[in-house]
Amino acid sequence: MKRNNVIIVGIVLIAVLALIIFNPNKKDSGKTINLMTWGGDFIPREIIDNFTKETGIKINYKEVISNEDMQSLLEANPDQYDLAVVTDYMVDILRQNGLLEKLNKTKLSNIGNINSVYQGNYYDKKDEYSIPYAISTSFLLVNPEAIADLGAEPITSYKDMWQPELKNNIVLIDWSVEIIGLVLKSLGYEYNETDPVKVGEARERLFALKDNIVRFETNTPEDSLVNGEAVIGFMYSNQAVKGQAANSKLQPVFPQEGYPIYIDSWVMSKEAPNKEAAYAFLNYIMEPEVAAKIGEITNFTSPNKAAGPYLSEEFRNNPMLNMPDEVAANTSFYIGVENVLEEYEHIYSEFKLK
Amino acid sequence: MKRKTNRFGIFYLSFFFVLLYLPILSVVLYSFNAGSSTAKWTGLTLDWYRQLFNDRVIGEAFTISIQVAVLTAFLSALLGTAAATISLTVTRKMKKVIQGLMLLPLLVPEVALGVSLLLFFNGLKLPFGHLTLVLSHSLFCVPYVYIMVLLRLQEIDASIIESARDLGATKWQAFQTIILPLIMPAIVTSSLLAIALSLDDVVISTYMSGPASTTLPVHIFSMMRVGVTPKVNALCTLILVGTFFIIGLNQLIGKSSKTGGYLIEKK
Repeated sequence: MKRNNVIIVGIVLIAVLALIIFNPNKKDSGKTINLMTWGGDFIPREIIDNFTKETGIKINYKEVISNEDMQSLLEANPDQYDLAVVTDYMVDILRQNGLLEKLNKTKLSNIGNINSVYQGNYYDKKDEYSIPYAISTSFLLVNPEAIADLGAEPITSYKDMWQPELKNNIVLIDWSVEIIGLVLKSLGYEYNETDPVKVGEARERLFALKDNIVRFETNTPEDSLVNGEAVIGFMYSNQAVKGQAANSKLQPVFPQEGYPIYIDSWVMSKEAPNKEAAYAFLNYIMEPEVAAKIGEITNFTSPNKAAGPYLSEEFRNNPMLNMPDEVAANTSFYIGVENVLEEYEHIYSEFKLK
Repeated sequence: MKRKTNRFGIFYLSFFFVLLYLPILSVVLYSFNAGSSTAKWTGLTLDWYRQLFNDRVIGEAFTISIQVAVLTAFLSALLGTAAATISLTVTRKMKKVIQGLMLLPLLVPEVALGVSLLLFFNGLKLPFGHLTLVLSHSLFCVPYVYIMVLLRLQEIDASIIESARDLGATKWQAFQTIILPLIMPAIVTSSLLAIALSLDDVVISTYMSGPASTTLPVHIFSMMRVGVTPKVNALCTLILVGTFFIIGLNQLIGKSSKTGGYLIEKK
């Protein structure tokens, strides 16, 4: 009796398995877009739902963890995805590998809303393949009062981080290219320098910073400033926003020498199954009200200059959330990371072991 | 002398467990924190749990994860048990070959496995979604079932089966009425392990999920770009409670399996 039950349960489970497996979303009839990018609210569901309500086009949102995952998935299944949002350097890679569709601007009436400051970059010089979506940067978040209490000079540039008064008071995001980039900038050089003399100089300079660093933390560096463990932190803009929200004394410093920029951009697969609907969606998210809403939900700077009037005052006037053009002018990309990664990783691990 | 080592052992064990469980406890604690930063305690709230239950996306990802985990556990229990039973009846050499092939998927790096499965299923033109997720998760869950069931099978006294066959039972009857009940605890335990492994997987799931089937761990990791909210702490707490429940269940089953074994030896 009991054994028969086991077998019956087994048969039921197999039936369920079969039911679920043979019920895939095969309705690719021109009413569905498949897009992939980072998850959470990187593309707010509210926006997606509104779009579906207005146009009847359904959107499947595949969440992935990294640019490289998107590259693999797009290379393996170019006809499964319509749209993706990838970071600047990945646009370059995908474009060179011939995976991207040349965008038809006549189908994108709102393209004029995009701020030209964020266009014409190295990865897509003629803006043929990508549309900027979310702009972020990294810079210093500082606690000016605490810095004064330590007897150190106010911070305006990376150079100021080497003051001996700041011993054990700096938190840094934990990535070799960013940190060596910071040191290179402080010496007046560019990111991803390959000249061995300049890299050697940066190495010495980096080692001299060791005593001032209290922690390496990539996920929540802002917490070290909030709980008073550190007085300066080098971190991504959305982390700095969170830090300031938790403690209003914390202030952003955009170092004189310059800082990095990351432009996450829309791209369309060359073999996208539903290009028309994809164009409709791209055009929709470039509408000023929609772009403003996206900015406020994601806490990334919007590349949509027409969105300005629709942003809340608080968002518009915060340089971390709505980067002014003059702040954006002092940014640069990490180009050619693959050429320097090995050398930088080597120096960086030597530095961390010290 | 003996006392002393004992005391040190207790000290070491408690130190070990504190180190192991304190970080997990802080997740539970911060899931009730009113502020969104983990740097400061700003008061008690159930807000994150409320947000969690209202989060449609987490709900969908959770449903998919559970479906995949249960189906994976079932499929791997079936395949693993079959493989273990068969490997008892074949020659010693053949058994070694089966064993080696069984353990191989555990040694291949996950990324390599993920990408090769991606290319393979793509070549077969299978639709990415539940099917590919279940198949690929079973790939790394079957070995665990195989090992645990095989160990249990090897404990069974061969004479019991022989006497059953003597008394006129068919091979299938002997399996169904004697072997299966004896190995059932091992099958259940390893199925629970398979559920845990499947729920845990990130790398392979990233490649295997279709455009509309993100699993829970992938969803959580993919949130990093925008920033993780304390909602995730609340979610972790609930998962933790669920895990403890499963472990408790497992312990109970383990207990009953022991008495089962005892009875047979007694005979």
